[in-house]
Amino acid sequence: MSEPFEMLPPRLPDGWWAGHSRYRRYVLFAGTGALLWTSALILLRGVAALAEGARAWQAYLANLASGLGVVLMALLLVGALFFAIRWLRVGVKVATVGIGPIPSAPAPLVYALNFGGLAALSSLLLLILGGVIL
Amino acid sequence: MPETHDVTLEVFRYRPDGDREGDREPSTQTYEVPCLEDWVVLDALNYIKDEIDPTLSHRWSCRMGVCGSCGMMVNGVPKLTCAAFVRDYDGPIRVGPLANFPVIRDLVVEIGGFFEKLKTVKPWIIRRVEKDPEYGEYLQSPEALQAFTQFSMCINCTLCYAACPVLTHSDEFLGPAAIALAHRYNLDSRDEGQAERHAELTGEHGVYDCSYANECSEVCPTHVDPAAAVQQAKLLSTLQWLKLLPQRGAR
Repeated sequence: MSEPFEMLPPRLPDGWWAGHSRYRRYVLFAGTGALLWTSALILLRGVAALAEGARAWQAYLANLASGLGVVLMALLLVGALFFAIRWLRVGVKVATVGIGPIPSAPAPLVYALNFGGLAALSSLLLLILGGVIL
Repeated sequence: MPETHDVTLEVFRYRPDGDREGDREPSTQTYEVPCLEDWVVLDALNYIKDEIDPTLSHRWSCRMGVCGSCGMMVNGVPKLTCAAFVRDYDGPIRVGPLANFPVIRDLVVEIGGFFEKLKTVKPWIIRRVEKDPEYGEYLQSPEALQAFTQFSMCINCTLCYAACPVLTHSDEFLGPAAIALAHRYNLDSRDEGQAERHAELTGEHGVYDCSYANECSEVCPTHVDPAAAVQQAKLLSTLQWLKLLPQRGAR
């Protein structure tokens, strides 16, 4: 009986993780987790500033309005939109195929509902945060 | 004589039983192959094996994209080499064994782990009580057939496993093809095995390990769209957990 040969361990895909645009997009998608974590910390800091009093709150607002704060907010917005759009595409993939007793929906309708819903929800939040309603 | 043009193939080599020094270390060997216009990468590999270097090992069978045997990394992308035309590539073509699988020799990988995973999700029709054959077959409407047809097109080529970045980090993940086939049977109106597949499908290394890179669907040669199957399986299991949908086969 011949001697068993040693197998090579599984090899990484060529170019992992930055060699192909599709891998880069995936890693960027995963990286949005860091942006979401940053957003959460900023919001928590805001809550703490509220608890500390008016001066702390004003300083917090001033920090957000600074150049660095605006750049950070813009980065968070881009990251959040990238994350949301990718996930909404998953929704389209799921909803355009019937699942057992759940009927399928036409792709344009699912696209419209998903992205329209995102736009409507975003508008509503902006109106609330801007003090236009409530 | 039909016109040929020379194409350079850079082929991954690993010969654990080799006698020469260096055979047992992975390396790359370059071949110049006179290719015909309509050749695919598999033709070029077969030419190397037949005419240049009989020590090269690779797997293939049907040559028509049906058997799923000839999957390899071509320029870093998982491909059925019988469907990858040489004329579509510029410059040297890099051919390697499928990523995310142990390499037995040269371009041949060990896919037993995949079949072990596949068995755990019981990819066959499960009935709580088998009907006596004398009462005829299990009938199915065209609409019910349509619900799962796409996912039944899987040829077990494992390209999706080579493309999946989750499997790159954790080989315990059930993986795209096994989930797609489990989902295929879960959607089959004749099947009553959802409950039996549930634990594997939604367990620690099941559908929720997937972070939706979508690479499996990008490389699938039969357009199964395993990424859709995984996301649908997530939705289905969530609705069942919320008791909004019944689970076929649950007691």
